[in-house]
Amino acid sequence: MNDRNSDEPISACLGDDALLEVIVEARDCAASKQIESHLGQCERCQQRLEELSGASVVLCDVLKSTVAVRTDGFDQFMERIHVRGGLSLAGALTADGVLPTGQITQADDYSNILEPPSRSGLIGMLGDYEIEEKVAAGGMGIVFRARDPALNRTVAIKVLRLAHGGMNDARERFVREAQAIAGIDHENIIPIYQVNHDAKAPFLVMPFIRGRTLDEVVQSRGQPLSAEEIVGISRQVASGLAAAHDRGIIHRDIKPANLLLEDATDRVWIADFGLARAIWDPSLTLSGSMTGTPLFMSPEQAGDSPVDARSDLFSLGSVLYFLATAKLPFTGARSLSILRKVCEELPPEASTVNPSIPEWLAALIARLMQKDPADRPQSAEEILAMLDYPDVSGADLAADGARPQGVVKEREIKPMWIAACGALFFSVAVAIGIALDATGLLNPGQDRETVRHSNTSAGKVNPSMSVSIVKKNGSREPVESLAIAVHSVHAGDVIELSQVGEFTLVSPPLHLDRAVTLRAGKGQPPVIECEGLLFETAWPLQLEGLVLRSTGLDTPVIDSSGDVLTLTNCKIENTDQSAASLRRRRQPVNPILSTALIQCAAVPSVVIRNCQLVSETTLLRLQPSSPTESGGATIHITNSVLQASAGFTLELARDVRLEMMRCLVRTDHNLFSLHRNPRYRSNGACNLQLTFNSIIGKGPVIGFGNADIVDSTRVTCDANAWGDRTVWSAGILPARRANSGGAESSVITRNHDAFLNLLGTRESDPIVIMNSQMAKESLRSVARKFPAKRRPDVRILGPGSAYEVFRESPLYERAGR
Amino acid sequence: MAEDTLRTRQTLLLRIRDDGDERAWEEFLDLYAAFVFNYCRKQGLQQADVEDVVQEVFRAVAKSIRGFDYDPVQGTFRSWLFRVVRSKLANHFNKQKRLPATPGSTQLEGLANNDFEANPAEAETVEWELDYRRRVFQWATERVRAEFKASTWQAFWMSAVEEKAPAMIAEELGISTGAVYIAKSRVVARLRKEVEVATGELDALF
Repeated sequence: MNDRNSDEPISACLGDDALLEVIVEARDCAASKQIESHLGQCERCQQRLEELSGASVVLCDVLKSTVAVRTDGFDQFMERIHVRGGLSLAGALTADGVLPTGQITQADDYSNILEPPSRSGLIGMLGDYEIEEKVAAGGMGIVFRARDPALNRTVAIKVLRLAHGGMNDARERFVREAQAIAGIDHENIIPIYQVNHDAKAPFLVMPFIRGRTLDEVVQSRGQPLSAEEIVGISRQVASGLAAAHDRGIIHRDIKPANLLLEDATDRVWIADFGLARAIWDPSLTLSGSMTGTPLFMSPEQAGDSPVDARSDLFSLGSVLYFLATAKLPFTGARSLSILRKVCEELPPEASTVNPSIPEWLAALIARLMQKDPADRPQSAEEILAMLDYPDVSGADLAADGARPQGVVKEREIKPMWIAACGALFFSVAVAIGIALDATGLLNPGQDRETVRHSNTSAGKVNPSMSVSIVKKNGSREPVESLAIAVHSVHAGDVIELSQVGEFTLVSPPLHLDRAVTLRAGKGQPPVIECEGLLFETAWPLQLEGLVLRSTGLDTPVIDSSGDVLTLTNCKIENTDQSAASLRRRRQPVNPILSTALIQCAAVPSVVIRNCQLVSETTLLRLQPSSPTESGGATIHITNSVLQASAGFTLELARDVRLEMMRCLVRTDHNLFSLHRNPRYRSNGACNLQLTFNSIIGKGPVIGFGNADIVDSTRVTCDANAWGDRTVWSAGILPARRANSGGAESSVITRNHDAFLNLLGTRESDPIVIMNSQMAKESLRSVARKFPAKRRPDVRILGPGSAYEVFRESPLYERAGR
Repeated sequence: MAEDTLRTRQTLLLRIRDDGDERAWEEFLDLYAAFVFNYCRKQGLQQADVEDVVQEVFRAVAKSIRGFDYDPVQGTFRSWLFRVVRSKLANHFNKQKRLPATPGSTQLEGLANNDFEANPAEAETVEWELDYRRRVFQWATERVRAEFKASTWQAFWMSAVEEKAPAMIAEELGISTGAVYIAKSRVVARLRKEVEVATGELDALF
């Protein structure tokens, strides 16, 4: 073309063969200049060329009209279909379009993803990673088990199946989302080691977690999980979601198949965080249309509406429903029918399908599954608080006899629980905050029961507070006042306080003459306000879901000498604002001398569960009712928040066994003050077991009122988190016995998450420290301060399998005596 | 040479009968899913309903593709596909008729079409055929475009689609008029080959 002079046009027309050759000639190599210039002039050859190439008018018309073909909504459809595997060949061949774990390819051919294996025994390579085995495949992609040769560890590699088209955009999105996820450091969210988007197919490297998905757990059991397991799982998932939502990351595909239960620890891991969004079209990120499994997706997702964190909460509700009933909340042969149900139908209550699910849990699930996001709990933190402080008090969790079946152990619940405690503080404070403001209006000399509406702006149509007696047969009888109710209730009946709006019931002391069970009905937890004493009883007393608020520090709120005291989901607090109280706050009184929030005499069983106890005084005092009393008392405190100047004052005249688990404790004085009233004959022992608690105390953990108690005291600590300045009492050390007035702070331990057995009852008895380097060292340094002859015998067991070592040692026998 | 390539490449229809050829299935979906989707959309279905019907269509195709033997006497693939689509649409409208109309639900729009017949009227068949052609060529243009130099493609596009005069195109692109004709013929031939390989039929289209 740039050498036109040599390219004389040829005048003779081209034959068909020559023209065909022009057409099929290597496509972009220039045709001979002569032919080209001939074609530029010869109409006949132009026409013939078009005929031979098939460029008919009809075809050109078709080509023209393709420009106008637009397919609104198709791309979204294709992408979500791809992700669900619904239109893949394998997917298409199965009966149901929903393919949670379908195979991507029928044959195990990953040549389009992996490099050839570097050695036998592998199925391929991905970068430096040695791919050992395909673990799972689904709409999102394929998961392989692989070895990272550099760090010699086993990892999981998820190779993503990117959306149809727009590969570069999708890759970028994928990397951005992966970075966001990698920013979340949470024990229930699978971390991301590496993201690689340069490979044939982009992939993520994560820790390899040996376990099963909740889907598989339910399927293999063939029956629902227990209420305790569900609560444990809920806490962990909600806690993970809270962390992610905090960073503005929405999962969008919470489903049982995305929740992994680790075999070794039973920890729940949330998988595929944010990937749903990364894989889909960016235009969907605002509307989020249908980006999830239809079976567990929220109505707003199904209905193409904008989604926020509350969408994940709906999906969590559907998952919990599935765990509680082993049934899908919404079923249908086709995804459309499922989606319609998600938007329009309510599944039967979980407790109807599975009667062993407590009412409050079923109510929580139902709330999570509300169609309108505004009707759901508004955040994952709120769920955490509700799990510990359900506002509908029905059948109690432990009373159902539902024990963990090994799925969720206490150890795994603990960190969740601590987080929940914080949320509980907050939510309770908010829930009753307005009521609290009105405290100053209370008439101190009040001796009649009154009801004060605490929140007029609640927007409820008919605010009311009602007291009713729920009979054993389920019938309900309204009662005029709480005072009348507690004096007319029959054994086995329950008094219920329900409210619409928020009220505070101001009550005079109630002297009970029978066993009473009092619980919260519908609505916010009822607040009962009192000046000092509220309940005095010599009978079993059971309180559920109430807030008891005392404005007087001089008398206990509950004074019981009955057989059983059970507090569940209650908040009991002392809010004395008087000068004396403020003074006390500055300088805590000796717990032995102070009044207790709850005082128990001769109560063989105290159970405090999911409660919050706040006071400037001792929280709980246990004292013998008479000098000759015998038998033992048991105190169980679990899942509770305890905030006090001093935790417990135990006056011992008999065997006391106290178990404290998963509590968040803050004291300004001793956690335990062991005290033996000299008037009483004593033959008992004190056995304290502290497990999975988080304890921050300014005073010694244990203070001994008189020295002889140390003879019979055993404290077993297991996996607690202690505040930095935790000080153990010296009382148990032989030196202390010899010098009962002096040497405090003889044992100091810091942050030990260890078994600490203090068995020092006689000089020959050793102190055993296990599995805690810090405790060991601090104890040794303390021991050096003693004269050599009186140096306590500190035996260190471990490390590593410390518990086993302990089990084998003669000390174990003694500890268990 | 072109004939050779044609023969050695199995048509897409043959390839999707092979279970293991997931890629063929993806190509197949790439070719037909949007088309079927569009067609259903035109029948007045809402997005969610369209998605449902499209899924059912392709599930049916996947299941019966082995039984489908290409036989021009029995009918072409495109007419067979048309039958499948029509019957799934008919099922859909039938079901909707039986459902109570919930106010505000997505069904209302579909109910307008409750006289839908599985057997198409002639005009509908003609429309389908035309849409089908549009789709396969649209698909083919997407696929083969990258095989050509930009100027070649532009020359083709401006002459075949925009119907500009070859001389004008030549001037605009700085090539000779003859090169424009050559470009157009080459791309068109390539497109036809792509369509033929994919559908197993071309002469039947034109």
